[in-house]
Amino acid sequence: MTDATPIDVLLVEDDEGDALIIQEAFEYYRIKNRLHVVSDGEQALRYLRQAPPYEQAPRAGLILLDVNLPRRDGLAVLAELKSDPDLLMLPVVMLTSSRAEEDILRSYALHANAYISKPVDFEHFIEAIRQIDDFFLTLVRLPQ
Amino acid sequence: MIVVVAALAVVIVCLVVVIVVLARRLRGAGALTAREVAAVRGEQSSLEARAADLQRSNAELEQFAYLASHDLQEPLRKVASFCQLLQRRYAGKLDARADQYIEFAIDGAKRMQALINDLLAFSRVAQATPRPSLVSSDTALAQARTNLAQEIEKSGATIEAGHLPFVLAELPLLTAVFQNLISNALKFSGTAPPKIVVSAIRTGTMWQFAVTDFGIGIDTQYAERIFVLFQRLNERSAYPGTGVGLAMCKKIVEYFGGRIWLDPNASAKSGQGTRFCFTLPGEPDDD
Repeated sequence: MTDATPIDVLLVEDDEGDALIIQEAFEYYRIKNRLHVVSDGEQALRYLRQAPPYEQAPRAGLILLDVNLPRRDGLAVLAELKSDPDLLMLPVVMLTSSRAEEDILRSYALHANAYISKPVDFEHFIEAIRQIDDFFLTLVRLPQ
Repeated sequence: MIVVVAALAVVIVCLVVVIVVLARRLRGAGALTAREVAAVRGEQSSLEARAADLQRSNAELEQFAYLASHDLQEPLRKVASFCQLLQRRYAGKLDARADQYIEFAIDGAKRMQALINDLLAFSRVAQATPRPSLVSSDTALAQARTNLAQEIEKSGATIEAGHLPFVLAELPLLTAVFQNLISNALKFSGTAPPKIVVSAIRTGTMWQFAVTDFGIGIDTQYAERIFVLFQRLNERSAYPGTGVGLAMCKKIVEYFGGRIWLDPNASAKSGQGTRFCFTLPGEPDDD
């Protein structure tokens, strides 16, 4: 797809099924970017701040953040990311099964870069993942 | 579960109708004894109670349908996704029987998704008090045609419509009515390229619309049943569908104070086409 250096993508998703589908999408489209999966907001923040046990974790270039997470939900994680000067530049794509208008509004109000409803159809789902990858990691120029 | 509740609702409606007829007969019977009057009053108050019950159970049914369909979507998406993944990865690698199992599983999951989506759309109609404004039925029909552009093109259908009036409704809902009726006309067209005629005449304060096709028609003995949720008259393999479309049209039309029915004259025999009529209130002052 591109000759650019692969980027590390952090997926924050507690649903193992959805995480697997997204991994399959990366495999299917031979997406070169590396996918890392954590299952809750706490882990996500530790990962991004390279706090234990993530001292060796590579810096993520894109975050896929599920809205419905156990304990601290996706919106709370988003708010924290966007108020952290070290992390606020990272593009965040909210990924959710919710189509509730208020979730969408709150996400954008908290400076989410995109809000995507997980498509009901599998083919559309993996296509959406490919498009997210394509848009953010090949089309858009992100701060280095 | 929903089908059972819907069937119950139908039974209750029938009961109410019988009671109304009985009450009218009693009232029309001329001089009534005091006991008869008391009996009629009793019938009336029990009728009112039943109507209230019915309204409540309808509201509960709708609430249930909304919650169920919303919460069912998530696990169903999982089932459908992984069956599709299974097919993608392992089609032709197991044996013919396994391929067929997977295919049936996917087909079932997709059908359930269609049902849930339609049920969700159905339960979203009339959740609030109606906020009708004057909307152009021309615009609604045009939007319905755009939404159905693929099917219209594929079937080579022609849709004739004169100038249609402004009515008191909401545009997305009126569009849904046209879309469902036209989609049915396209689906049940028989072998020839479908021809559909949409017209409207003023009857008092209402506009009466007619959507006519020349397809396979509907036996008039089913004139009532076709408007009940999940009722289907044809085999799924020949005519796919969820049985929500006409129930949805009825709900929308009645929401704005109109009525919908199968025209028995234009649809007297099956095989002679179908005409659906529905009414909606017009602009109060135009005559």
